[in-house]
Amino acid sequence: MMSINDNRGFMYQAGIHGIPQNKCKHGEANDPTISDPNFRLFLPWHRAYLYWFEKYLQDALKDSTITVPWWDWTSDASKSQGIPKAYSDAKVNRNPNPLYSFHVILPDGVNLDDFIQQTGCPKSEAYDTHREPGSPSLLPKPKDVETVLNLTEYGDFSDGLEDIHNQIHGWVGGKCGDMSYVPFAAYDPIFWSHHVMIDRIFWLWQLRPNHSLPLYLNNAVLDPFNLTVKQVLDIYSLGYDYASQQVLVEM
Amino acid sequence: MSEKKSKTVKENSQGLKTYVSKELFLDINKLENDFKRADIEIHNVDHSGPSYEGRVFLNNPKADQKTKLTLDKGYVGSYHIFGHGGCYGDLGHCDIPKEREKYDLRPSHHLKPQYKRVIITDALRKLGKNTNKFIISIVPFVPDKTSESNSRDIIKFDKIGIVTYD
Repeated sequence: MMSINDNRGFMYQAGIHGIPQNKCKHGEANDPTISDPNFRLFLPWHRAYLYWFEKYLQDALKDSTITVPWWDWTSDASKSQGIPKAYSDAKVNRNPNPLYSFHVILPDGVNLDDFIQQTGCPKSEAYDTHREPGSPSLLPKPKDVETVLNLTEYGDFSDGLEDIHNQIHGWVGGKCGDMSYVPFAAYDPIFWSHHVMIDRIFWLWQLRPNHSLPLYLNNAVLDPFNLTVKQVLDIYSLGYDYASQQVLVEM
Repeated sequence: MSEKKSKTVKENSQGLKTYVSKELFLDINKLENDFKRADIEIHNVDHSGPSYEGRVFLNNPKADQKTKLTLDKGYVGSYHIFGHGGCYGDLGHCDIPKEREKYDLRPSHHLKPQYKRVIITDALRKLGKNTNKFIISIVPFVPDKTSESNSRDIIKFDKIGIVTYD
């Protein structure tokens, strides 16, 4: 179930973020002097996005317990191997690993001329996942996450976590990789585990005393999902939770 | 203390185009109240091009891609841009409306420029002990073995400044 023409398909879901739907929220009007209803929707919008993605994944596998794992890019494992093996091994059980390389078919007629000219990177309407990861030593450290978790004001926290999020996109994608560019990022399977990590940090921040979103965000609609910010604030009401501790198992 | 619509682009031996501000004046020893936080604020940052790390330095206008990321070299922090890498629609798709009409309730344009900040509280306390003049430099860093992507002018914004909070 991969088609961009089927709303349950992986490519349709990826296309909500960038090409062709451009619905994602990043850094929108992150200026406290600007009155804008889209002010800092980055975290709740991506939570709603993950929720929808997981629901379609559960439908496809007929298993409501299936969830997307988080990629802890601050872990010792990431420090030594960079991208997790689940996403970097070319083969799984002697078969091609779709988490390593996924064949993307963009909508007909998408104009890639400007991208090719601006970036100097090759791109066509049909391509396989491309990554140019940096040195694992350049990944964020646990203290970087702790620093943003200690920011008590939502705007500071959202901006700080979004910046770390941007850093990971650039780290995975490098100059020409899909993750480096908003229009293509969600077509890389690792996008989803990266964003689960972001959502987990968002939740850990919410659990701390006196940490909350400004009330005026409550009724903001998270387009194109049928959810408002208020409806995604409590992850228990969305039917999931995050483990507070993790034990890593080598695969 | 800010600098508006002023962009000095300096190209160094690596072909790297770095932003270097004019000299800004801020005497932290003469502030009415001590500050609890200081930020470098960058307004209306363009994100239509490539993703990059903006490495921010104080009083090191010669900083480049190889400069160590330590305070003694003037490094005070980084911001990261998640870029679009170009325009993919038909003519006008990436033209950002200058003003929103009163009754336009649609979401903002997807390329609306961003606001970025780097928290520099401790760095300003240390550097500000000995000077009241600051030059802000931003070195773009794109992981790229060929360094081709660094030969372009990718740092674009309207205004930059240092802000302190009591």
